Amino acid sequence: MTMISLDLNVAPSDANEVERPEPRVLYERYVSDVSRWLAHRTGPGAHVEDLTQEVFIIAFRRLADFRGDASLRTWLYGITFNVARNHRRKATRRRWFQRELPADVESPGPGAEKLASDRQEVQLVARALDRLKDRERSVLIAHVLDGMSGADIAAVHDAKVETVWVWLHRARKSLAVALKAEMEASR
Amino acid sequence: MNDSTPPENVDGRSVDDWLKTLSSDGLDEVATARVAKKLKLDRTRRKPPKVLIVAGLVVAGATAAAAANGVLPRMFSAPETPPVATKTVRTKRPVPAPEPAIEVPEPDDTKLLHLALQKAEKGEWTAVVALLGAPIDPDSMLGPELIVVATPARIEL
Repeated sequence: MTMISLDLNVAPSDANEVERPEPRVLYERYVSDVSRWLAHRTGPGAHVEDLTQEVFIIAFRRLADFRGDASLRTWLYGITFNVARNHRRKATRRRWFQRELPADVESPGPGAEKLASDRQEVQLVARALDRLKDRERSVLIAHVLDGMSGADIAAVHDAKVETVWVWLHRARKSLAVALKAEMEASR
Repeated sequence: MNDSTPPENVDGRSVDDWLKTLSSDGLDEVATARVAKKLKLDRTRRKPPKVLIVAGLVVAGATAAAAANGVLPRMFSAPETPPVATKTVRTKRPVPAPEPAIEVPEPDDTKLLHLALQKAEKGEWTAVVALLGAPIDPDSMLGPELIVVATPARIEL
């Protein structure tokens, strides 16, 4: 990852009352959320660090354009959503459930068995999730894993809240079907 | 309006429970600090560049020389709340009592600046230099005062 020089002296471009914290404050307040959102959408791994950096680079550059139509957290979520989507498109062949077991569980034992079992379950869910359409997968992760409200998801997708609930309903049905299919395939 | 979707169950568990197996905590503290460094958000921990220190000393030296010759009027006033570790050196004019707080062996501008430079190189001072160029009272016996304000090596930008 190359070092990118930034002008961090971001200042509000107008005099309205929209909260635009300093970049350092923005980072400290939301880095945990952003990295967690990214891990949910792209899987855990070293790439989360790079993607987190990418999200905040974009956020710092665009902070002056933030108008306060949604909360700062939702605005960051939108940036994160786009960065994760782009990453997913670029890395369609890299599936995070293919990652290796940690080295310290190579020896057999009850702990290793539990971890292996957990990993199988994680792989199964990840494969099932991969069967869903992009929007279904997105709203499901946003609501269930990221804890975003219907209004937040609607803001990111530029949709009505009622529409988001319909998407969510369909996404759950699709995931149930996909989970059953993956279970059948793994037997 | 809330989410009123009935839970979809698979193998005795709701799909939300299945999905939560993918839950993650995100970056740990080390990785968070690493990203902050890449984003250049850790500037408060940096020392000021040496060129800034040297430039300050050069300006102070030139101003001190001018002040010693009586060229400069009084340009700066002493702060109401003096900073930590302020050292006042009276130059040229002899003073009746010795100054115990002065670390500079001789009230000589060149030596004082040399000492400040050494302190700055060691990281003991970060060389914030101000100057009183002219006597406070021309009728008094006080000469030009050179005030070197020394601060700890860490500086808050």
